[in-house]
Amino acid sequence: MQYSKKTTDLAAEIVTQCTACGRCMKDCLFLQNNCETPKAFFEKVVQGQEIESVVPYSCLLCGHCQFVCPQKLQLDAAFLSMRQDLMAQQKQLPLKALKGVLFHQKFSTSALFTTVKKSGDKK
Amino acid sequence: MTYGFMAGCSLSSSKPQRVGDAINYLQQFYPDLAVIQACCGRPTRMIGQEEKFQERFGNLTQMIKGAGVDELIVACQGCLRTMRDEDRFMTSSLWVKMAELGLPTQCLNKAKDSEVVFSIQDSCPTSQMTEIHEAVVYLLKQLGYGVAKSRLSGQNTLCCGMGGMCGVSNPNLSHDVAQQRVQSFKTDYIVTYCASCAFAMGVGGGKAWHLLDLIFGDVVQLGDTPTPSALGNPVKAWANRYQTKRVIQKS
Repeated sequence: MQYSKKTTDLAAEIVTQCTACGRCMKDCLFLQNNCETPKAFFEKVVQGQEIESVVPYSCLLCGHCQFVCPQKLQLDAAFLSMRQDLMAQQKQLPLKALKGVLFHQKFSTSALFTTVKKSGDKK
Repeated sequence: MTYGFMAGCSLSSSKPQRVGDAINYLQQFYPDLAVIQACCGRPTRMIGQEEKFQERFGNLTQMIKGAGVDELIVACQGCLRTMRDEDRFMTSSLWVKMAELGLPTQCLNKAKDSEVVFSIQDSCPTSQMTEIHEAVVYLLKQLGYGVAKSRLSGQNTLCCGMGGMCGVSNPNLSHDVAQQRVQSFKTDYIVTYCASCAFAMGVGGGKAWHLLDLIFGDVVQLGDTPTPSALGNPVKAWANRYQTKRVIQKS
């Protein structure tokens, strides 16, 4: 997998700065299930090693890791950037399950389910 | 100054009646309130389709500006975070707005005889918007409910399990996160101000109410159980979303 410059830059920043203190791991099941430390995980990304698509797509993107990180590292931004690379580089969806999101978004933004009641419009 | 209101997808899909209640409430202060039902496109962004997201968010921005809205009052923390990240129009949180405007008189202290103490599941997209956390605690106290402290709350909150599209891409992990979240609270009664969080807390085996149900619905007593979220039933959820559209058009 060839990651974009944006992804490798974000990953390299984590590899350089992460002190493996474990604060982000303490309460995050996603990190606990998928890495020893963020430093070790993103070393694989920098090296371009194959990582299953489901891994970046499992991050909850909640930002808790960044809040507790003494270095304020943006793990969520790195995982999102990996998703963008997967979307851009693959002809098929990175995960079949994402079809549901495409469908959901198409309907959510369709005329059938949207409406605007302008300011001052009466009943 | 023209105000608008947007409930967001998950609330529209789960609670048409409460969207109507929020509109009625806001109309008392802003009789010319505009109302938008649309999607901010956050899920599109989260699965990695940034260009498509920009197109969708651009359409939403046009809708809001076309409705003459100067400031949009938003009930969904995912929408609010997306809008503030994009910063193309003024926004405020419904919860902060309600704390500022004050609850309807009949709501004040209505739960004073209830022994229920709530733990708050703070929404993760707005984890760094502390004014929202303060407003929610204030509103609960105004209603007369007890509020339990939790280590993983406010800025230190954790995701309910539905964040980042994890519920779709990794349902097993999503379920485990939801369960862990429910167990992290010291009380059995959980309150959320996000309809997806409320759904997730149910998935994780918890008893969770949406804040709008506490404000506009019956007082919760010990032993009560919440109505299961419609978000677990896609047919019901889309039917609700259509019904919310009708509620808005008739408001």
